[in-house]
Amino acid sequence: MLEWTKQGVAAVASVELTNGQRGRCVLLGPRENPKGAVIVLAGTGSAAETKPVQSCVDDLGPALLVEILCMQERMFGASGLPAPEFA
Amino acid sequence: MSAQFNIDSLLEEVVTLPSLPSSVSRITELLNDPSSNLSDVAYVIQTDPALALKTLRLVNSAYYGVGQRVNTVEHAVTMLGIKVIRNLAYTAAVFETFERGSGELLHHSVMAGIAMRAVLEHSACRGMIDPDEAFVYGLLHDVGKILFYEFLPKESESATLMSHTRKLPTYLAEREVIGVDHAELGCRLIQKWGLSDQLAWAVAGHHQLDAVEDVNLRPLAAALGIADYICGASGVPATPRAIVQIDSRHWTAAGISSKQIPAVLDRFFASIGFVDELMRLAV
Repeated sequence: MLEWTKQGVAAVASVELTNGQRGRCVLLGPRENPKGAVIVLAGTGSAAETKPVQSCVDDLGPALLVEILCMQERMFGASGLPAPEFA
Repeated sequence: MSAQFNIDSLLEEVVTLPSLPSSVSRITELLNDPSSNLSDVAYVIQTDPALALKTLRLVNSAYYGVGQRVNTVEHAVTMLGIKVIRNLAYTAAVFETFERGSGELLHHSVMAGIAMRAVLEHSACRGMIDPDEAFVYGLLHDVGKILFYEFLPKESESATLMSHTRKLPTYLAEREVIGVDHAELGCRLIQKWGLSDQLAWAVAGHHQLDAVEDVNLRPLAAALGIADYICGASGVPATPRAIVQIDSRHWTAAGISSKQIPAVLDRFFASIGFVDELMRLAV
């Protein structure tokens, strides 16, 4: 399972894409918001590339995607899943 | 370390598999008998007041959503048909079994039933079983744990502790402490109850597909493992702080890729409102 940490209102975890690229997943809002979950990848030079999770579904393995979307629902969703506890 | 068993010595020396309630066994016989009719089934349900009550409460729950008040068992049987009634009877029987289990396990199992329905819809198993059967698959997938809680409480607790300290999935810790895991034990109980072979093997293989000899049944076991994983990722594992993992082969076997995940979870999240209602039916 991913190690999530709370940073302000966001939850952040290190992730590895299926192509081996590493980045951070940042959860900021509910699933209806396209920018509610993003992947931040180290770009060339000092620039970082930010992609909504919805646009890089194919680059995330199914288990990782389940973890991300379930955590997003636990934090920001209305379905009633238990809220996460952070260390 | 505790005594080690294999499944046969465990069943011979320690665990007595509970019988399916006689009324549910009789319903199973009737449903397998081409000369029987729905009135016969309704009569058997009516003779078991607890089963009749649970059947009516389930039929009238928002989860089943029949759209009108059903006040008699005969009406319920006529409206819902054989397959649904059979699954209602199994579900009611399982809820009785869960009266021995923990609240967390019941919550996890009901969630797994809902998750299994959502997974089924988008998996390669679609058509192998119907959605009501899928709910029973989820409800029963950890039934072996109830037997461990009842017959081997200390060993079960040791396995949980080992799972936490060594960051092992529970089923691997159970194998180390007891020699048998809950999936294998659950499979034996389901076989004893005379439920379908595909259900028994799906339960046996939900953590490890190799436990299912017939490769044609592995997709169902994989789908069940995925439903279990979704519950863990949703913060509702079978035991608090459980180590939640899934073998990557499950996704391939169930025919589910990342593309289908958002739709599976949409369906799952939309059904979570039924969980409390279904859990209340258990008591």
